[in-house]
Amino acid sequence: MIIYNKTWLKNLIIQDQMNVSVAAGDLSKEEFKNIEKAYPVGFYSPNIFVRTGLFILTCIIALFGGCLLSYIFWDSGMVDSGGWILFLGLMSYIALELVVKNKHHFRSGTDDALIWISGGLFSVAFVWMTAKFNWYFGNYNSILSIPAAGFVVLLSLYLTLRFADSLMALFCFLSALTLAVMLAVFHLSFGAAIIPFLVMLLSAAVYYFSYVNTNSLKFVHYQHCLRVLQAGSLLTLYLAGNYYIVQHLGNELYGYTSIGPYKVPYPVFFWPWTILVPFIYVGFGIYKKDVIQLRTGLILIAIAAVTFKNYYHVLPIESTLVLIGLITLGGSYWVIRYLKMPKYGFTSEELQQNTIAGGINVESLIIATTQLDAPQGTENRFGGGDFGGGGSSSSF
Amino acid sequence: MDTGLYKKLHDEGLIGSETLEKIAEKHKNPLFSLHWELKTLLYLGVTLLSTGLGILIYKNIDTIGHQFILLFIAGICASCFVYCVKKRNPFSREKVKSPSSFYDYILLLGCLSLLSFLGYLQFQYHVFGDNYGLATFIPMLILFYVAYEFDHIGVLSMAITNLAIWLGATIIPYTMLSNGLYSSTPLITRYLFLGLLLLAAAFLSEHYNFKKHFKFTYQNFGLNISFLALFTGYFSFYESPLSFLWLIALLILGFILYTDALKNKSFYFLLLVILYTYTAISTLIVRILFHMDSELAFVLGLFYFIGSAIGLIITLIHLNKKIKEI
Repeated sequence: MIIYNKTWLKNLIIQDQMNVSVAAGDLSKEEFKNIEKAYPVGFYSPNIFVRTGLFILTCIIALFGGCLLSYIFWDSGMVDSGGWILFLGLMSYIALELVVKNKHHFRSGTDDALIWISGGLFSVAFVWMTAKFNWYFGNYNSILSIPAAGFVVLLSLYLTLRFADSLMALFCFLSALTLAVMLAVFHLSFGAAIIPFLVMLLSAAVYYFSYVNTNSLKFVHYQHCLRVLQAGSLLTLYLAGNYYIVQHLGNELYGYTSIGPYKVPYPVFFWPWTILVPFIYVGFGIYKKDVIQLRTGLILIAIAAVTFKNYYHVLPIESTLVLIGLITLGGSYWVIRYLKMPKYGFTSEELQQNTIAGGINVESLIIATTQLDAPQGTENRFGGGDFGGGGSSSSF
Repeated sequence: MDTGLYKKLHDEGLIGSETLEKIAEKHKNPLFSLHWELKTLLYLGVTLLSTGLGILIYKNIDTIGHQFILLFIAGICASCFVYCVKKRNPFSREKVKSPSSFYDYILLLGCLSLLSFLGYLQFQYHVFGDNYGLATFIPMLILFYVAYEFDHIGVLSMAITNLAIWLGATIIPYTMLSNGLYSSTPLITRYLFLGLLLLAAAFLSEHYNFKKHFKFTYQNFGLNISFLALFTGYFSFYESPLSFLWLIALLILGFILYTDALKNKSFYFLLLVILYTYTAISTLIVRILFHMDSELAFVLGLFYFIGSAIGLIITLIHLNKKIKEI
């Protein structure tokens, strides 16, 4: 099923693991070079910058190539049909297979772009060609419909299996969830009421599957996909029960009824879910030393805090920010001090140098992009003559 | 991760026995690093705290409590700097290794709260008078000094942003008065000047070997700002026949930066330069084709984009190989 050379994929896994050892300082460079020779990888997988460039340029070629073909065949009258889109999709798919098979591109940017372009064209073609059968619901709220969603799920599943693309795997999972929700809403009388539980159940099943199989030999080529799926399903598992999301989706589905706005049923269940699940993730992440659970949990704690803040105003926003800021700073300082000598297998030191190719420190890029706001904020304080009035009126 | 793979590699004679022992020893007590989680939390803490304090002053600016808040901020700022001065490594022209990641973020917090403090002083007591140029100039100087003295790239990028604000803040009221109507031309030249200044700073830090590792930050800001300024210049004088001068300047700058990036083996800058100049040449060609205004021009345009993109892909792949080989 998978298009890539399987020996190379296995060798790549070995090389990746050895790379970690080299970065940790366990393996010498000569040893790594020997391993590279003994387990060669022939893929063309350039660094992230080349990958970005190739992605953009491939999109340009596909766009203008499609325009050119359409222009040439404009007079024949074939262009204005779903079949034409299908043809363009087939062209890009053939290009994709050729690039991967003959030029051995693997996560090079070109294949990434072509996977998504051909997938998108096939989906558009499907919707266009089936629009004349009256499959589509008269429901104006949903542009998507069940056959289209089903097609997207199957197509993305195929692309995932063939190209082992992790983003496509995530997309496949999300579209499958959407399909399940639509099936429940349209075909079950009580469908709308069980959406959160349906999504939770499916996410839990997918998480269990990907968690168990990530390190299994059977799915060794899909490790990346399964890791992304782990994170994605953990997120959806939580979000399905998040109070804010349940309330807003309920509002969308039921609207304002005669008894007033939609109220979330079983707050006894949803509130503890909203608050506790992130901490459970973090707890399990630390207990099992699982990076995915830990990081997802940390992100979700922030989401849980925002959700809670949205409904209960305990403190004004600025004191909350100051308080949380002080607590996080103090807490992480304490943890760093505590873990100065590694305890229970945890350390605060980094085990490998985390730099991306090109020798650029990732962190400096992040600070440069996010901290831009801070000085601009102060600039407002200097120049603004009109905000003093706003400030004083709000405090009296 | 188990040691099976390493044993196999050892049997094949690819790994020495010493290495295998070292790895086996590590696998007995595997370490789980919380480094990045803790760093993110520190960063989050600093951001939340400084934002919260900023809003706190803003809301309480005319109440009795604001002096306490001000004192609180001054306290935080002072204690941050005291901590950093105590923990710091001595100054050097080279890169100074930071004592800990906590130190880095405390320095950042110190600078952010210093900015809030100075901003408040200016707003309430007009410490720098009505001269807004001076009011942004002083914090900028302090930030640059701190960035060099304590060797902190995050503070350096804050300083560069402040430099941009200082240039912007001093120019806008003046042009407003002199022109009477809104014109962005002086702003473009100012930003072009800023971009070139930063590029010069990048060049000088490398040339005189003074904090060489700051070069990336300077060049990153300088390159993007100057290219964007040149593009804005070209498009705002689109109708004038002199508009091509902007593009010519862009191409010259692109060539200089291209050779520099090749020399320093920086693929990131190489990609940026290539994409910017490609856009410039493409706008020129599209303009010519629009001028022709015929069906042939349309087809030619399509061919141009397909052909040039394929050519660029080949160039990129080739350059990537070349950089690796140098």
